[in-house]
Amino acid sequence: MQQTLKKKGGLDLSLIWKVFGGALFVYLFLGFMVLPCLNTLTSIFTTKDAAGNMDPMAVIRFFFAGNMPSFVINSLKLAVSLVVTVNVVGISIVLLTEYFDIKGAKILRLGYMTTLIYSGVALVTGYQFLYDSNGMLTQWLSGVFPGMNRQWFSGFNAVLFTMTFACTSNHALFLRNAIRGIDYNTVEAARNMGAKPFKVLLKVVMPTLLPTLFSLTVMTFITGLCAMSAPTLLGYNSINPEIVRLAGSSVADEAFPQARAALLSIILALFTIVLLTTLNHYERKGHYLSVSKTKAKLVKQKIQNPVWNVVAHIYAYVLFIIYMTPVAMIVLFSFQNWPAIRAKSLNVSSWTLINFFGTQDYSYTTSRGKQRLREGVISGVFSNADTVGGIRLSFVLSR
Amino acid sequence: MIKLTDIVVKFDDFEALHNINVHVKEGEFFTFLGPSGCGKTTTLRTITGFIEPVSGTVSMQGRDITHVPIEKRNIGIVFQSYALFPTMTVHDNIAFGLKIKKLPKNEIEEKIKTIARKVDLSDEQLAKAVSQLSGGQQQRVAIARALVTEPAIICMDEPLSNLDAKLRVQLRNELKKMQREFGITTIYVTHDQEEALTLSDRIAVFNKGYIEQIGTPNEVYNHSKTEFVANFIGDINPLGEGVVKGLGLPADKHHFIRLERVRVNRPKDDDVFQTDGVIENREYYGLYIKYYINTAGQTIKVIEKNDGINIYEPGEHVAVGIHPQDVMSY
Repeated sequence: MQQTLKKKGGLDLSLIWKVFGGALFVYLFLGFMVLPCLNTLTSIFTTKDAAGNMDPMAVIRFFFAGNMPSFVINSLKLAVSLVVTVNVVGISIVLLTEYFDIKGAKILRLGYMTTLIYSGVALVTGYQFLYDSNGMLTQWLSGVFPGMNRQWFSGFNAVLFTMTFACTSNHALFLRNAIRGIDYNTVEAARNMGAKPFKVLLKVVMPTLLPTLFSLTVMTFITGLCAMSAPTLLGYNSINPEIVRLAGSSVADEAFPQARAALLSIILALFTIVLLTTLNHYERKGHYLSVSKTKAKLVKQKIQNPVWNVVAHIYAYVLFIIYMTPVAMIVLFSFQNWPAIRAKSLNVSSWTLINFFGTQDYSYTTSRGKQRLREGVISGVFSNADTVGGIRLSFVLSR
Repeated sequence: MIKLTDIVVKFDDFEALHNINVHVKEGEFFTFLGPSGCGKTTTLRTITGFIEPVSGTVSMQGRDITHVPIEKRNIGIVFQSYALFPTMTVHDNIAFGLKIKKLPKNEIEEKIKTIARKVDLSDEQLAKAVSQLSGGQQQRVAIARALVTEPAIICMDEPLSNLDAKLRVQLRNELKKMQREFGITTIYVTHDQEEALTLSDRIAVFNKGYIEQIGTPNEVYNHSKTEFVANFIGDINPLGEGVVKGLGLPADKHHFIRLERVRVNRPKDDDVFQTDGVIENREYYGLYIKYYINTAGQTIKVIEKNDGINIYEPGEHVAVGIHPQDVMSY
């Protein structure tokens, strides 16, 4: 077959394919990767000042203009904080559902996996129904404490809180698989040699999870750095929302917005490249390979100390409530009509299945002040079908 | 040394062990033998403390340890999977139990060196990750790790089953040599009858959660107490009506004979029941030859030593002799 393809009418077909393939690759590589980057860099370094002179040092001034360092610092602050909080919560949810014997673990797992089924925007919206300035909890709290700041759920803390729970999806998937891959005999062997349960967890179980945790940490860091929806909705000045803002801005509004956006993009890209290279280098060193040919399935560990057992159960269910809040809020508010949703107040009298399935069209005002009409039949049915489908998916995953 | 008295183990409604009674003596190599699901590993795990019995007692050196936590039993375990810690070096695997006991660092190093020498692990191997070792070397690490803490007894759960046949035989001999050298009481779990017969001082044959027989390898092989034991250890021929009548054996019992006890073309003794047979098939094993002989209305399997001279061809007529004392009746 190879032979017949090679020589036909004196032409080497495989060579033609190679040349064509090579040319396509070069086109894609240059056209979509190298040239856009070169253009961006050129536009930054050839930016002209107000007098019309080209100033290669403008890039340094761009960086310090418009409080740009604060966006970078804010993003780094969010990324570093997220690494800590996401790992704490992510490891917790996996240990609580896969390693420790916690009552109702299947339901808990389902709750912890809800973040797999909706976007960051949906998650923030779900929390806002409760915590926003006119959210249910805020309204109730301001009734009790009239002087309280109704904008309490905004800025860094709100973003960190929301993203912490949004970013544990990877832990729920990958760390769960890693922990399930542990040979239970290693746990038994350590116990047999005199190690107490906590020591076994620390010295035997956790080191096995380290490669997965490292990958998850890098992914979380990048997610924090590139965060978009939560900082935008909750008001936190990080890189990506600023890039979007600058990209949509005009020279009339402020100095060199596009060049500044490009510079921020490059800073973001550099961080990402460094992190991914580190991850790649670490992964090349290899994962810890289980030497067991016949693995024993992990048996859930009962927390022997009754006090710690109760604390672990409380912690597990508090996390469950936090995870389920956005879902519950979205489902509950789906029964309401559009004005009630906008008001973020639950009004049972306005609840109908028609609202839930979204058969009513509604008009709304866009951020640019235009009036739009949304067709309820399509949006409602599809969004609710998505939710139900997602819940079904997490049922399947939780098995 | 280790005594199990009336041990009953249940998993929900399923009773896995029914009144198990075993007494393992000091320094003995004791094997739990049986097919899959017979309860041998469950019994071992009851001794080590991973399973708590519903009733009965486990005592060690006269002390009731039924409810003593795993880590306080002073029992070493070698798992079927070896259960080595993949994130640690060989050295750290062996040192794990000693560090948990908070022994001084120099004492830990001394003990590791001593045990490594005994199980034939070099300094280079000690520095390696466990995944870099072969199956046989990993098994040595597992044994060293179990022995270094100087346990009162060592329990081994099918430690050779992951190895290839040749290495299994080699390590079997080394295992026995090591056990003799250390003089440690060993409880060994296997489904491999050959392993049990070659290694053990005594064997407990398990079946469906009961112990069918406890005895020396010779006792369980030559004087099997039950039909199950006779059938599970070695190969046997159930004797048909023709042979049973010929031998004058009671018809209300089942009668069996081991393959190597059937005599082919040998001079007839007075007590021997002899009849004509035809070679149906022949399997050549080198050291011995297995014949399938049609005689007295049944096919009897026979093993004959390969002497290079008396080799029979299929279709050949032979004289088949059975001595009544070789028959096992149940």
